Amino acid sequence: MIILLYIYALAIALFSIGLAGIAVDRHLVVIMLAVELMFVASSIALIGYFSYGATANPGAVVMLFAIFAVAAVEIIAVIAFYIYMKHNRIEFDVTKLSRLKW
Amino acid sequence: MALDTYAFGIVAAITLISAVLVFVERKLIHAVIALSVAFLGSALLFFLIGQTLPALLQLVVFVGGFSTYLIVAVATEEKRANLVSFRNFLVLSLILSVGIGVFLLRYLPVSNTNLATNFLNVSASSFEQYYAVFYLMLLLLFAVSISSVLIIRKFSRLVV
Repeated sequence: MIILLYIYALAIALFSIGLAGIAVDRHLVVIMLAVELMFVASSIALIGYFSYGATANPGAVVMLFAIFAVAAVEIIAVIAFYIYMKHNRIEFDVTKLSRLKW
Repeated sequence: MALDTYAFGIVAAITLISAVLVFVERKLIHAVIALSVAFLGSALLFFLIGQTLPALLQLVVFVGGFSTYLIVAVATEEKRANLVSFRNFLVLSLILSVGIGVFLLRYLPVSNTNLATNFLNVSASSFEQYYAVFYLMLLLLFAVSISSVLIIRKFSRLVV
C-alpha cells in the first residue's frame, strides 16, 4: 500500500532537486525547467495530502487548477523571453543578462 | 509488500532519475525530454493513488501540451557551455532533501490511513461558488498568452 509518507518523500526529493538546480545552474531555460520540477513536486504533495484526507473538498480542486494555471502562465512567459533572446542573440547565462535591464 | 508499492517505487525512481537528468544532460533538448518523462512519472503516480482527473490534466496539459511546446522551442539550441558538476549537484540536492524533509515532516500531517480516497468525488452543485475563480483563471491565462506575443513584438522593435 502506498502511504502518505512515501508521497511526501518523493515530493520533497523532487523539490530539492529543483532547488539545487536553480542554485547550481546558470542557463535561463534550465532554471525555468527547475521551477517546473518544483511545481510538479508541490502538486504531488498537495494531491497526496487531499487524497488521504477525510472528506471530499471542492476547494482543493480550485487550488489544483490554480497551480496548473500558474505553471502554464510561467511556461508561456518564459518561452516568450526565450524566443526574444534567441532572436536577438542574447546569452542565456543569467549572470550576464544586462540587456534586459531598462 | 503489495504490488502497488512496487509500482510506486518504480514510478518514483523513474521520476527522480529523469529529474536529475534535466541538469546533467549536455543538450537542452535532452533535458526537456527528461523533464517530460518526469511529468509522465507524476501523472502515473496520480493514477496509482486513484486521482484520475489530475492525472489526465497532467498528461494533457504538461506531457501533451507544454513538453511539445518546449521541445519545439529548444530544438535548435546548441550544447550547453557551462554544465554543472554531477557530484556537486547530487550532494547539494541530497543535503537539501534531508534538510527540507527533517524540517517539514515535523509539521506535515501524516495520515495513519493507508487508503487514498478520491477527493474530486464532489457533487457538481458544490462547484457553483467557484465558477468565478475558474473563469478568472482562464481569462488570466488567455491574457498572458496574448501579452507575451505583444511583449516580444515590442522588444523586437526596441532592439532592431
